[in-house]
Amino acid sequence: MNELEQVDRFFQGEMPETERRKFAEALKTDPELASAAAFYLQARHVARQEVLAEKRKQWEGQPPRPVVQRSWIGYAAGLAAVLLVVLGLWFWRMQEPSRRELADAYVSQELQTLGTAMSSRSDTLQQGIGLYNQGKLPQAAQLFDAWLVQHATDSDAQRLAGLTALRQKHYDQAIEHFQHLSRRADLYANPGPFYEALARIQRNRPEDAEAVESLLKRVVQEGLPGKAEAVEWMK
Amino acid sequence: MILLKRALSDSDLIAGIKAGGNLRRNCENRLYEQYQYLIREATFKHKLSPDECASAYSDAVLTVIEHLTSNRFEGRSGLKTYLYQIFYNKCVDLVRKNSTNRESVHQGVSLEDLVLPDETRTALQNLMTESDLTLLRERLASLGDKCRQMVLAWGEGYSDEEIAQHLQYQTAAVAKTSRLRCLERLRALYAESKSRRS
Repeated sequence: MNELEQVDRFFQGEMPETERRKFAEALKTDPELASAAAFYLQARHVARQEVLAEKRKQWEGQPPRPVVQRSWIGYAAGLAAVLLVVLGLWFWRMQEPSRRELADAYVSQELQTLGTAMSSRSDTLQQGIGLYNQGKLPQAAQLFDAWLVQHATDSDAQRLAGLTALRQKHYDQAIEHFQHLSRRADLYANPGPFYEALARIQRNRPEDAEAVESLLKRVVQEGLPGKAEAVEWMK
Repeated sequence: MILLKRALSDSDLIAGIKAGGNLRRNCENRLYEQYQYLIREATFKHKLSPDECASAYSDAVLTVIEHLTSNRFEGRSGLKTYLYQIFYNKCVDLVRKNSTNRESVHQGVSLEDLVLPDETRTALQNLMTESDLTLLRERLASLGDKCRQMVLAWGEGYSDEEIAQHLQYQTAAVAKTSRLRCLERLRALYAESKSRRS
């Protein structure tokens, strides 16, 4: 075994204690052995310095990256931010009127009174509109229904009967009238689908939601009366 | 966009460094980055230049890595505290060095970490102060790539087993024999250069 091997065993801690003590003593008296040990330590030191220089070049060459310390304050701040966003969204949603509220507002603003300007209307229908506008809805409904018995194809009467039923919150009846109206293919601008959607929104049964979506979509796609409202309500 | 990186826990860093290979390299880099801010603190605290502090910090990180791989780190303190203490000591050494005559200061092979009888320590220290570390560094550079890599890996604290894996030797014993041969060659080159000089 040459000197460097012995030195290596000594410094790697591979020698038993007795041999180790003897070796340490020999280092004081044997110049060759001491020289080998000195070289060994110097070589290791120089190698380490070289590695250190390379590491420094590598470590210091790269731009420092910000490091997020894992602390409860960070997590708490993150959680608070998420809660704030959720609350904000909820509050914003609360501020936004629902489709039902929009429909109610439409009925009370737009359907409170009906136009009486059309001179071609029969006296019965004109009378019914008058009663409607006065808020005498049952009487108006009676007149419109009676008229429809005789004139089942009168689209205007169908519309008026439907709207009267809607104002009275007779939604099933209103929907039936509007569906009759919707089936009419000869009308230039058919308000049936929009009114049916309106009635279904107000009735608010589980099965209505899907039908409302499809009716509003149809109104928008076909450019039917009520398109502007339908666009707004579909948001 | 700057990607923020989560700080690794002590146990992750230690496990990564001990695992070796690429994971070790990554964890070494993360350890360096994680407490890099200590450099700035030390610049103010010890009135050292940023470059001196950066050098001491790199040295301290390397020491911590060596202690981790050789199991000298016993986990009695956090990794940051351990690193800070070593870094602090290195800064204090630098301050001492700066306050004495630089020329007369010994170039730096420290035997403080070695368990040696005092007389043996002094004898070795005397031998080493006579030597020329620059010359040894030059000879190391001329040793040939494979041998140089092997000596550097040994200097970095890799075991023969890790060197065998890294440099594709069949066994740790083969790697050890090759390492000792490389050291013999280096010693011969160094002795030859020294005798030529004198």
